[in-house]
Amino acid sequence: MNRWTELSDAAARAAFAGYFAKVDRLLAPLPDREAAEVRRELEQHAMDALAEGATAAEALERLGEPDDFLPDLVAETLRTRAARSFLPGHVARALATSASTGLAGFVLSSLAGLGYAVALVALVMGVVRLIDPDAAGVYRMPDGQTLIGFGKSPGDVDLMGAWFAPAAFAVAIGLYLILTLAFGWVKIRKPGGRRGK
Amino acid sequence: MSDQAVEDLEKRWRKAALPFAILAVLGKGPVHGYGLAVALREVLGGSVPEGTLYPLLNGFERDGLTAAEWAIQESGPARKTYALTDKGRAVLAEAGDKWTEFSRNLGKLVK
Repeated sequence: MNRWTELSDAAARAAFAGYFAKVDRLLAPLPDREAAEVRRELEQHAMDALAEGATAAEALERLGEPDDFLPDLVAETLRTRAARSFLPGHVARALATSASTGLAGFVLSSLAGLGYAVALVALVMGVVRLIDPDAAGVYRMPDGQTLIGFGKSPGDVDLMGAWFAPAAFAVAIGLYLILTLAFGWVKIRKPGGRRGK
Repeated sequence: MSDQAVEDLEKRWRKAALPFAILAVLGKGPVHGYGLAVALREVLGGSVPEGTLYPLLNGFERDGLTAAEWAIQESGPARKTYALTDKGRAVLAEAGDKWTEFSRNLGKLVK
């Protein structure tokens, strides 16, 4: 017997169905092919335990609660994918998924999110500067202080001139690339499962 | 009470040893997830849910320590089989030396 759907015991089938419904829900953020691979591996693991003589309940208990180990696997897979593709959609999904994997994931996602917000502001500054030369820049104010911001006030001296827009784009792109690489390769390892069972 | 404390301590060190134990089992040859769990069962007891092996295997693969492929069986479904890469073997050898030293030093403290 290769699949749990072929089990003759209705109670065992129901236990497997409940377990793998949970697995499917947790794997949903992954691309279909990767989610199917993980599911297949877990199914095979449980089927091997059954073949060894375990009951359905024992086989699933040995695997452990999906909530305890799958969120980390999903978050790590999505972070790795983001670091390889650099696509904003992948980055956003990795941020959202990592944020829901516990305190460490939440802190990591929050810090990365803050960095991406800075990159976005730099990008916007570069764009508005191209549209209106007085809309953004690095200014020395009449009191001597230096400010990076939107809108030139009377008396401000524009310190970077036409270099501001390319510099802002370079900061935005550089920050995006560095953050995505760092976010993708950071490790949050919890060997015994999220609840430390 | 002390039994519980001992059990808690034992669980902790078994969990901490899990990544190294996985590499050690893979060092003996390619194995699929369930085979790995069976090999680890005697070493790690029942304190670690077997599903937790998969995020660790995923991490090893990502770090280039292991490679995985779906192996077609003569009978039964295809299985994902994990094997150490050259980098994984080097890490295992170095970690093995450190583990031996750690174990010896810890043994001296305990006795």
